[in-house]
Amino acid sequence: MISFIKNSLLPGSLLIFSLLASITVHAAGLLTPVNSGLPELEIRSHKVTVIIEDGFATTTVEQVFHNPHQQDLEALYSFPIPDHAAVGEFIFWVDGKPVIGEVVEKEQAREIYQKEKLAGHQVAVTEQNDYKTFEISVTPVKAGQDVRIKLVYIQTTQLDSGIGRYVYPLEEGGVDEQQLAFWNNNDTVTDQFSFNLQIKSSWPVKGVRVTRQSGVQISQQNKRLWDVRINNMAGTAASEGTPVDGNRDAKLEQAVNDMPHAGKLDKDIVVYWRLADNLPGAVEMITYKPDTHGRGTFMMTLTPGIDLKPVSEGKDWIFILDISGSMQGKYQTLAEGVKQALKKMTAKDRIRVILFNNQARELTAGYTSASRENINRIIQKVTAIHPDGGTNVYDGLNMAIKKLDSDRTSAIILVTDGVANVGITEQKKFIELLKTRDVRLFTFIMGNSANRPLLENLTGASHGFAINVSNSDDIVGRIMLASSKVNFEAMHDINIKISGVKTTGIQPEQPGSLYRGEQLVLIGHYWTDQDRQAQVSFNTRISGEDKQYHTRFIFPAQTTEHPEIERLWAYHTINTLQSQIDNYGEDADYKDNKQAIIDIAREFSLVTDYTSMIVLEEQQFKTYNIARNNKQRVNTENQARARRAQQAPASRRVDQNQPMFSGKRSYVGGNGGGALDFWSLLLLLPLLMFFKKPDLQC
Amino acid sequence: MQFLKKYRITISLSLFIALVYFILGPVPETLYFNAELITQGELWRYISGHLVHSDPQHLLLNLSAFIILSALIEQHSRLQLFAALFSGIIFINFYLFNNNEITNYAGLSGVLNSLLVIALYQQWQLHSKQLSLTGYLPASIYLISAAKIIYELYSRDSLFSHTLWPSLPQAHLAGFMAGHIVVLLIHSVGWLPSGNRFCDNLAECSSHRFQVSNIVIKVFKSIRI
Repeated sequence: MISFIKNSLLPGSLLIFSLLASITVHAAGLLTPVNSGLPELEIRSHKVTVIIEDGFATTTVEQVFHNPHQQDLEALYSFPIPDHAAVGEFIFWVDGKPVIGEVVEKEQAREIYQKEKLAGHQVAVTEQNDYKTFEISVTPVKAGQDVRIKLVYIQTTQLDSGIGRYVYPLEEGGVDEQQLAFWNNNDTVTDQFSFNLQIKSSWPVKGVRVTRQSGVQISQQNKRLWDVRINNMAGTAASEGTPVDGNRDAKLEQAVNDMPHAGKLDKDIVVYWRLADNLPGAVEMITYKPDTHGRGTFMMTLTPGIDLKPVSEGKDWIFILDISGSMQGKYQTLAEGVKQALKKMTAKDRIRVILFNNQARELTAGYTSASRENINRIIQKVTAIHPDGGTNVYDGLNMAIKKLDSDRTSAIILVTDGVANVGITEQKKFIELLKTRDVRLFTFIMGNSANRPLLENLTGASHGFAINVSNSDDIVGRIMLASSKVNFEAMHDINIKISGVKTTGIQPEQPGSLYRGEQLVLIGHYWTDQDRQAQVSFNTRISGEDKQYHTRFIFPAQTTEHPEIERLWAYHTINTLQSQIDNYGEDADYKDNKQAIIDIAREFSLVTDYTSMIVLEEQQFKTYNIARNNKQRVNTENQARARRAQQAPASRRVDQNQPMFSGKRSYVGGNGGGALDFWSLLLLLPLLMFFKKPDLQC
Repeated sequence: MQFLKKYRITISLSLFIALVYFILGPVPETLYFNAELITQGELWRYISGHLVHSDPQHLLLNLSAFIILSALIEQHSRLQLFAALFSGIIFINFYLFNNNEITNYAGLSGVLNSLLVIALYQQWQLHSKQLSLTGYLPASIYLISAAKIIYELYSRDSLFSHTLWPSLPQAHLAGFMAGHIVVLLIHSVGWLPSGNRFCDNLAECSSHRFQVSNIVIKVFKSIRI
């Protein structure tokens, strides 16, 4: 058996992965216009440091670009937008000194960049290209010299079913055909590539896993502190088993392999960590309130410990699969995901498969029972498809919704990169379509450049959920996660009430639904000039029955530990404002949203669709009358990070005195039972005739 | 009293299972099977997981079947009853330890499949020579049960059972296989006399008890071979 695995399965798997890698040519990297005749710059080093603690991740990317040519050049670096990432810090080394960027409106930033470039000054700018990429422009990269830049972004890291997932996105989605045709992409790091991630968890971590990467070193300092290291320096993976802070007593947990990382920025780095089993449901909170009399910010994470019952009746599952050209690099992952999902269907379920590119068509002739023969037939058909054409998501969704059977519970599973570019593409039309029927929409969002805003808004409108899938993901694990949600009761119409402390601007405004294993993260502002106890109520509806859960805990009057959550609040508020524009258009109700986004982005220094971050030579900030607000904010954040780095992982649980939930949190895997049925029992009854008379007993 | 004595294991276990349910409620958190917690030292879950149930229907059906099968085996051999119980538990737990999809497990029916195989084997040994309904009954029940398990595995779902903790056909298969291992053991070491009686007098009982100790020796010998 072992030799079979060695001889057949392993080479087979490697071949499949190699093919996948060869298909996926879109990556983060330096861009040069096609046929421009301009020589390429080099990425000399690419160093990533990630700290995951207290419910959010801080990612620092430091890069050095080198110009090996005889003429000065401009560098344009593009990378996929990380999931829900708030870019708040961009540093460019001017004359050897780091200069922190400031946020201005996008058009103004472009204007200033061009002026400075023409004047021969050093300038750099970070822009957001819709939902697809962040782009960093730097000029000049002088002949034979290096330039150094640093970018820091933060994002919330919710656990799902006790499993955390962090993605460092490098694989560009390949969804922007114009861009792909215009640019050549250099994604090779010539000197040093390193990725260091530290998990500081307030709950014990059972294991950490990195998929499809070489040169990985995972080490554990204690149950709450883990390190992951990846680099491209041969031999250093083993020697760098020591954790980041140099604790030599650390236990080496896993050296995945000794092969160094290829130093190519073409494959996502996906890190999973799994908490210990049987942890309780809990409420955790971190706060930032530097001034006793001023505004405070809180980030509250609710992990329900509610016994959600399995749903056993048969369902209708409608798969809508994207077979457009932009899915080419992701289609193998899609096919594998569909295969795994179909295998989880039961005989009571019915399946319908709809494919779409320029238009939608049915793969199955209406609904078909989830028998093994039917499933195998569908898998074969799905695997044989070659994606091409445009993306008419609306047509696919419309076909699915038109033929719903109102007598059965139905769920639509949309698997797409969500780049709607054919037919109806307006988000508000999608929302209107979904609201015509009572159906749950679940989306698997493929790749990093997917139209996440569209897909998340659609699932939110139908009380479903969205799951992101990278080509580097453990696809079976992602399917298990989704399966553990759709097969159990969910919490709907969630409403959170906080009394005793004044709160405002809580995001999300309407939490909607929570599925099994999901956490609810609330970020908002609060006011109190003394430590004050608040009552927090979690109201929801489970299978038509109203449920209420309560707890009490203190909101502090002053705390300086987590200044970053101000930016997280701003980011989520901007997202809500943008969703309103996308869902309903810039009509009378939402005409001020764009300006509100710009105002918030400038106050909290965030890169958005409407604002960019620019770095100038220090004296030029005055010339353009740009206040150094972000410099001050970054310094505050850095001081807080430095303080936290000295501390061991701390519990952020606030409901320990009066737990909101009495049960344990949900995990992937779920429950199974040894259950006999009535007919089997009847079958046994004839055995009663075999009972002996008492005197035969031994 | 003789009845109580004759079926004391069946009665004790049945009472225990029912009391656990009525006193501690459905699937007590401290008792269900969880591989992670067992490795952390909560070793009782190795067995207790099979004795707890998720709802009244789950309890009633499993317990009824247990009483029939367990008593049927116990009337002939208490040792075989223990062998059936423990082999079922070991096989099912082995499956659960190696399965990532099921974190928690509760219920007796996996083990019931192990009891079923042994009970049917006993009756087949006793009645296979009879050209009547009783002669064909054990084999018929066996074939229907095997077909049901195969169907459940094939359809990845329980055929009729809809309990709160979803049924796990693989656990039924594990119990079924465990029963076959015990049957092989019985057959290979001549544990059961064939014929229509097991031991109906004191001398035969003594001889049977003596035979039990011999079985252990034979098993060890067969393993060494």
